[in-house]
Amino acid sequence: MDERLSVLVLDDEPIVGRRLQPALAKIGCDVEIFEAPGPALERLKEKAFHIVVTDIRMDDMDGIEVLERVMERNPETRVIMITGYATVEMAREAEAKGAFDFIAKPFKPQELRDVIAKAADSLGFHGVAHAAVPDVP
Amino acid sequence: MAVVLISRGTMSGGRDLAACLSEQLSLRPVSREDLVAVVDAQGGELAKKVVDGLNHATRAYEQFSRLRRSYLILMRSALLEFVREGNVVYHGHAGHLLLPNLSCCLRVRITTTKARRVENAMKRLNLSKEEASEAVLQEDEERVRWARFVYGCDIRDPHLYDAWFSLDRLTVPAICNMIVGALREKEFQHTPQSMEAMANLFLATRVEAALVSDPRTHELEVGARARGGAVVLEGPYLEDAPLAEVMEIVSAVPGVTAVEYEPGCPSSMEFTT
Amino acid sequence: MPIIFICSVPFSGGERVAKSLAQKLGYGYMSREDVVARANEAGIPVGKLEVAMVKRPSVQERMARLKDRYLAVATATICEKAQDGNLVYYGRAGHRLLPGVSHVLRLHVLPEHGQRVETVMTRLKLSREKAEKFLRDIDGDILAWVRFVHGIDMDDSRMYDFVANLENLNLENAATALCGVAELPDFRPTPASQRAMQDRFLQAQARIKLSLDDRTADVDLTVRANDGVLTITYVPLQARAASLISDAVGDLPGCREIRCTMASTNVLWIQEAFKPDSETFREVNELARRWGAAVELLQYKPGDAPSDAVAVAVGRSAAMEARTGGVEDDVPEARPSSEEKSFQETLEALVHEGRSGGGQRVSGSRDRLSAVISPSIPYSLVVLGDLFLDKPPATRTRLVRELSMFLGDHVKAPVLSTADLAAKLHLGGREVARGAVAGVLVVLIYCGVFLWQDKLIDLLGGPAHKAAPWFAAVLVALMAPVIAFLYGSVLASMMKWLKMD
Repeated sequence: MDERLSVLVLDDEPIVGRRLQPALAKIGCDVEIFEAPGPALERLKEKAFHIVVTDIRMDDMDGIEVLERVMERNPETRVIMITGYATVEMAREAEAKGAFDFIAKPFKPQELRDVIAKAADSLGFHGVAHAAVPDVP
Repeated sequence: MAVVLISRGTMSGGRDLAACLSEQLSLRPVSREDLVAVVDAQGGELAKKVVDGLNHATRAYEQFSRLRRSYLILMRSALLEFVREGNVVYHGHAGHLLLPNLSCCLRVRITTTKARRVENAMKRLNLSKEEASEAVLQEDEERVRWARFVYGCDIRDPHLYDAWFSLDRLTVPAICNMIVGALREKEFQHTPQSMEAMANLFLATRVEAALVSDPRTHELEVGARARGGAVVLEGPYLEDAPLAEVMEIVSAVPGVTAVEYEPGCPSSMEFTT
Repeated sequence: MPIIFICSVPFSGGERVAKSLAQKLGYGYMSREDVVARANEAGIPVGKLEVAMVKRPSVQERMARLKDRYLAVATATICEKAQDGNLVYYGRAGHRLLPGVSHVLRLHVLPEHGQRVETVMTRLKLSREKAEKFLRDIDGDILAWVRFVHGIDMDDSRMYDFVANLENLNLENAATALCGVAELPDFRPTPASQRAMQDRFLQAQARIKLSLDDRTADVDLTVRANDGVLTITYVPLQARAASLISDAVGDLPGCREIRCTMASTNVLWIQEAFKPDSETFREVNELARRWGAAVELLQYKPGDAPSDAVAVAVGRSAAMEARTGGVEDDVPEARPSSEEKSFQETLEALVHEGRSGGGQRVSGSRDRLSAVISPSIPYSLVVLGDLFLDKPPATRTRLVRELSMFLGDHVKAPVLSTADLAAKLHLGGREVARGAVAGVLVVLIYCGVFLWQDKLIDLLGGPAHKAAPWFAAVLVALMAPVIAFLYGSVLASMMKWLKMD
């Protein structure tokens, strides 16, 4: 498959996007960063991203609602939830509504890469799993 | 019109709680022995044999499982004789499981720590500590086995009760006060609907009890539903003669005004929640 | 007046019972959400523990220390709010945070299933099937949480003073019933229970300070408070941290004295590869539990290229940091081998049990092994586990025996292999039979002595003795050790049975 894995990252903390962009670009993903749900959802109307990584606790709209909208629009998209305020109820609600995985902050970028590799695998992008293994000095 | 059904752990103070409630609310205390006396008085020789037989049954499942249904019907009928009048506190091991989940009845379990139960056993039965400990453990196991055999459930499951109290730090008077307070709430007051449901259940159970007490119909496994005086029977397909016997026995039960038989439906038993 | 802990699962109505009760009684109200918010503010990522309950990896990676820190914050938060009693707390088995405090009322609320499903369907906009699955899943997760954090079964009714089943009791009814209990004299604070609560508060605050201080965060410490005296016990392997403890704790209100002590009972477990789910781990852990001992792990690779001892510590989860937004540095790190992972997991399991004495790895000759074992550490026992794994069984047994003898000469502690450990400490069928036979023989001998005591006295000091004095000496020389052996066998079996080591 020549197509690159497209990933949309949504988190209202700018530092998160700044840290995740290079971390995911490392494994050959095309990454777009958004800090607000509105523009992210608008962009999702224009392009069907393979993977959406979204925070949960945001001011305008919570990540569960983003998940619902993404699933409604494009059920094939793999949605990965990230949050610093995870609870079992939240994680299971996300699972019930179709989230692919759920990661509690703080996390290492490698953890997210591992999950993205699994998500990519489920979409038929098998090469990402190999690229996700880090270089060990 | 309060009805309290107490399931007590071995040597757990259940009798004391029943006595306290009886005094505070003028409730009639009823125990398992009272139910057996009713069965003896009303059910005839066959009924007496069923109840006596099942007392020895728990270790011989195959031999006695056929008695189980008859036992449950007869004991339920006896309990309803008391409960339908209201103002009753029943204390036993698992007798509350004889009745379906009636809205006007409060099902309570009372337990305490093993150390306290051993102490109670030492005082009541005049035993040494080791003997009392052994006795309490054996009695616990026996009760669990009995309930599993007779009712098909674990009496230690808190979902079988409305309230579970531990006498570890709560006292009998405190628990009694809590129950008295709860019974004042409207959920536990009789309403016309709950009285009607009780009357229907009582009639249906009396019909079933009459059928299991009669040697001609004892083995037939016919269930009953009642509404007003109209009774609908559910059971196996019957030849004319046995069917006639069933209809004759049921029609003779006081309160029955009409009888209908629905063959081919298995009789339903609602003994647990 | 009491601190009332109401424990229930989400969407059960338990929270409404708690709020209603607090309102009726005029008490303060606090829920688990408040505690979690406080923990998050303190930089403790509680969410990681929560998600671990959902994903349930085989061993909770780095969860043990996180759990301890969370418990300390939870205890401190509740104690602060409940200084005068008069608090209703709603959560998951929160009453377990205050052991020894008698003015605590423990309540469990069982939900009405049908209503619960409807609530979830409405609130979360799920189908009935998904709502049912959601509830099954979160109930399982919360049971797992309570088991992991508090070590109990949340559904065990013996843990509570009162269990209310909302299938029949309505919420208001349950709250009304509870009002009466809260007024009972049995649940009023006494000076002793107030003291106990202050000690729990002090202990929690000390634990928080030690875990947030980088110098002491990774040190295996036991913190106890009794009557205002803080006793902090460290393991011998981490003795260097002892000097930092008092400084890290600093001044705490209510603390009269800080005592730092080294754990006096330590078991050194030497093995080539560790697994937390192994039978040996279970046996060593059981022994450590009986002795109140810390267990130090020493991973030893005999015959490998010699290496210096490498200390291994259980790392702590990174704290939530605002400057990173929760995304840690993208630093490549080598994936641990499965053996290293197992070693870490075993260490983690010991931390979870509160019995970790730290760990280290070494390879090389047995002299190198001996050099690594510190002579200043008072080990109560050295256990040799599975070693020389690449050798055939007979060779393995011989080498372990030789190592045992070698270490016995160099270490001031008894050395046992795991096979000997089982034989010495566990009462199997064979030991019972041996003890019974020895017991019968002892009884027979005693009976013989007392039945024929006249003849024996004659033999030992009477005319018969004068006729053949050598006979008595021979008899005593033969019988004394036999009786001692039989008597010792009986006693050994009894002590094993009583678990007196």
